[in-house]
Amino acid sequence: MGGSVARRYARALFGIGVDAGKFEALGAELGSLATLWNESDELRQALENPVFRPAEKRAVLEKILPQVAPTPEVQRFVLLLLERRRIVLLPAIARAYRDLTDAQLGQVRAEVTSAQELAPGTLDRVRRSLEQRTGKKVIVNAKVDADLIGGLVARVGDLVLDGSVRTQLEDLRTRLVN
Amino acid sequence: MKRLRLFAQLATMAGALALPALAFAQEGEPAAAGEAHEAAGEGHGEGHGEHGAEHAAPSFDGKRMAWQLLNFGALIFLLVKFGGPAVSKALSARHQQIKTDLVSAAEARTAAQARFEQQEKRLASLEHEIAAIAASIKQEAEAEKARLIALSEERAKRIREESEFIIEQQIKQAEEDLRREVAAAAVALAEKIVRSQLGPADQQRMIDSFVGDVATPNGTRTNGTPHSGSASPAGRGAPRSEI
Repeated sequence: MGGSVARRYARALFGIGVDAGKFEALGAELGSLATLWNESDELRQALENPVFRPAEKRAVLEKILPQVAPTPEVQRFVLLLLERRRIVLLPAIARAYRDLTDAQLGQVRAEVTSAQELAPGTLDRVRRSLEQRTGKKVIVNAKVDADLIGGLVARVGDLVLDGSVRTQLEDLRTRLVN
Repeated sequence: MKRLRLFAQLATMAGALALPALAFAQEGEPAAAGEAHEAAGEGHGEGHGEHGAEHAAPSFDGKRMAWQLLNFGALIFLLVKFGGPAVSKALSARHQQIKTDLVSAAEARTAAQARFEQQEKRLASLEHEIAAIAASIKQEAEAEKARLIALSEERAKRIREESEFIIEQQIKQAEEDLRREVAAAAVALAEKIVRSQLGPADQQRMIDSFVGDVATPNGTRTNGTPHSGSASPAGRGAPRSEI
């Protein structure tokens, strides 16, 4: 339900951004706002708490927005979310907007998890191999998980490419059991 | 009217009964005169006492006898005339009653005789009935015994089959548990060895292998099917894809 509403809001803003030819800039500002929302408990408290009056919440946003999102379209959009009590959907809207932007640019995002931190050159090789596999531009988000023991796991949308030792040990255990 | 007739009958009867009394009263007067004459005779002379005794001897009085007969006849007539029908009627009723009673008694006797004969027959066949009942009970008992034995055998068979099934399942479960434990121990040991022996060069080899396999779709596995790569720690860079 929340995801569907978030996608509708994201599509609306994305349409404005495409028409204005600055959908990437709008997306970046929306992403910054979502990051701020996720990282700042005070901001969330101030905008979610019903104790504060709408005018006070609006004043808070009006003070923050010029610094984080200078584009008027994003500012009006965020104030609209506050007015319609949808401000809690900001992170979901930012994700949906990012997906729309990726689709518009023909790019995908990949989450690459390795047992040890990968060197930039290695990560670049992984990115290129994923681009070759998907045929799209890949934006890599690297993570480290020592439980993998060795190797790495790449997630591109619904596709999971698993080359970790942990998974191979699990496969070995399954084969032994069966 | 009925009362009047009854009154007339009573009057007639009273009259008839009074006739002899009147006759007897008329007879009494000469007798009394005779007695007075006899008393005077005694006073006349005792010498004539034997002669007086000859006069006191019993004598037959025909008139008196006639009146008594007439009186008796009237009585008989009245009795026959008025009492006869009632007596006859009573006797007839009694006769009929006795006749009816006799018929009833005969019927009762016949019924009693029939019941008696029936009981006799039943008594005669009682032993046969008892024997038949005993045989029937025995037959039923045998059938029940057979049924119970069959039921018990069936139940025992079912219990045995269930027990065998449970034992078989428990054996399978134990085998599976053992396999699982052995596999877990083997994997734990393998993990320990891999962790201790896996070096940066091995990591790099695995990444290289991953990169090479990702670039070529045929080099990956899909839908979780096992990859044909080496199982050695150095060769564990083979990626797989799961959708």
